[in-house]
Amino acid sequence: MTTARLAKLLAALVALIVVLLLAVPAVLAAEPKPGQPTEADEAQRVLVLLDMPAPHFRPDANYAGGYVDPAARSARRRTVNALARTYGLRLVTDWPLPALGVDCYVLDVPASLRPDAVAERLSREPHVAWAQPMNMFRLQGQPMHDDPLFALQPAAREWRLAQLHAAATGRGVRVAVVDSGVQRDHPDLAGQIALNANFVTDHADTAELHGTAVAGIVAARADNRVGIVGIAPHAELLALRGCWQSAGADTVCTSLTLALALHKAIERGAQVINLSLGGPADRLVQRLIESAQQRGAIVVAAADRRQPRGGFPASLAKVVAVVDEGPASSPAMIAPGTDVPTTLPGSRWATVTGSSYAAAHVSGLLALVLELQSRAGGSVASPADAIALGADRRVDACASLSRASQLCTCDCEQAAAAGSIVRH
Amino acid sequence: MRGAVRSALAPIALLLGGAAQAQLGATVSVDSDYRFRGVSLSDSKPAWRVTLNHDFASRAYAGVSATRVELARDDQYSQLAAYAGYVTQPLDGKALEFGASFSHFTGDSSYDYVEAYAGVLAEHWSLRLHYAPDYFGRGVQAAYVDAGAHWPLSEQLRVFGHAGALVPLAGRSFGPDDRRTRLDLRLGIGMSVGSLDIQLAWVDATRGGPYPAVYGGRRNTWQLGALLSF
Repeated sequence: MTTARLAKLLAALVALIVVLLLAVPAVLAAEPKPGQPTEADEAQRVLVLLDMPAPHFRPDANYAGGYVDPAARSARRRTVNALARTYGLRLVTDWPLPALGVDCYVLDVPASLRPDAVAERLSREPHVAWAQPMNMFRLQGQPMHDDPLFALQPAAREWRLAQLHAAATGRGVRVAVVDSGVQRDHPDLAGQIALNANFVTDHADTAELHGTAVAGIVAARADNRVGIVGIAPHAELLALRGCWQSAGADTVCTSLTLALALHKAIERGAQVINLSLGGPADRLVQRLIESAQQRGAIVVAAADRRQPRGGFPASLAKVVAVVDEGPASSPAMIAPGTDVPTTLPGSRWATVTGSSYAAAHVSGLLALVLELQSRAGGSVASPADAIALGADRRVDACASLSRASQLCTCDCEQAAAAGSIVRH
Repeated sequence: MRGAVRSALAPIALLLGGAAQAQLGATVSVDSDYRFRGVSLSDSKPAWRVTLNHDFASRAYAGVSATRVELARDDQYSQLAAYAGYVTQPLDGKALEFGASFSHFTGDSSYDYVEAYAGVLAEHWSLRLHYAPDYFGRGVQAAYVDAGAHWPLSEQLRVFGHAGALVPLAGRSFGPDDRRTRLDLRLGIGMSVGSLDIQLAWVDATRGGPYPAVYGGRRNTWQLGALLSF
């Protein structure tokens, strides 16, 4: 082959790949979207997790060079198709979850079968790591008051927020808010969100109440002469939409949407992950929470007082469980969560109440603690050590920061007199 | 040589338990130029490859592949390669890998050679050290350091990079060029759509190094490849 012919061949091949790069996404985008599934549809699904072989040496230079080995993935696709045929299921979609070393397949279960029974049988199949029903989660917020924002934030009084901010503002700490959609251009949130990602592909990506409210409590902009001040206004906020606001104003999530948002939080190295939600125990979500914890992240969850030990995921080991008012029946800590002014969609502010917002306060406080510990060159021994509690399990924000920095944050005169910590 | 293959693969065979959860996959690929460690093994012509790979639940793997090569002008052979290895459970996101491969060239088995490798694998990068006691059957011991990384740009697109160093350790030499360390580089973009994976890469290599080396043709080129998996 002459050089000229080779050049022509290469030019043709380059043209081909350019056409493919441009055309294929367009073709994919042009595909009609499936009908939006209802909550009942979601609840009639199972998740099947197949082990993903570790990436390894291959002699073919064209190997994808990533965690998804194309040949092995085709093999898993054949396996799940065979299972779908055997059980009369319909494959909806699939997602790789390399942090857990599994591929996650979503399958529709016929109305005549119970998803939990199908999942149990699927779990016994030799190719399946595990299978589980698609659980539904509900966010823990109470109905908000639609009053104008004039009141002081509870944290400003109870936590002495301005004094805390003299010591730390969460700078350089990544906080993932796994929640519903956040209004990114809200006057108090514009420029505060380092990453926005949507994992609820069946519902339009839009600003929603719960996510916008939680994000504002964690990281609303400070000193901008509007709205409120976030607990950690300089934190790097990862707004991960794993939940959506349903027609009845309920905010819901599925095992899959939560898992994908958690996976993104892990992938992006979130140091604090806020889960202001609760639902049934879920193996996939639990595994991802444990994976995040193994990688050093602190997971904060809103506890449900009606559930034993606060319900799932608040009851998991090492998860920081938070409620808004005491006395807590579970081992949860208490943080401000009643009549909290915060950001809302439509560039508004109003007050909200619930454990969701108490959890958001603690996530913000952890960002301050981590910033101080990072500056001091230390690390968090355990989530329990990061937050100081009063006798009634109420969060003592000043003591938490003082412990992290070994410097006085509030009540300096008293602390100096006691000689326990250095004056700041 | 058959004995050498059996010896190389025997320890791996012991690890191949849990066949019930094994995953068998096949790929067919075409490259505009079969570049191996920066050197064209197809005389800068397009080359095909078929690979069968088996992943076992025990984290062991094994496979075979066949491809067309042209080690000397107009001397076309098929290269048949068998490989097997084991990847440990990841710890802090990193796993260790051990394995061996054997290459046989139909038509001229004097090029046959065995190679062992070990490495560290992470989610977005890998680092391996290969050792061949008789590289391409030319009486030269060689080591190859292989570093690779990739980063997803979207669900379908990714960028990747590879750098390698082929180091002659001992053995015969036919001239000063043979005793050089050859560096090679591969940078590109890849796209996966369903079962199809397409890569476009820029490949370059320094002069010399153990056989086969860039004696004539181009040391750098664009390389386009397509891989279909089954």
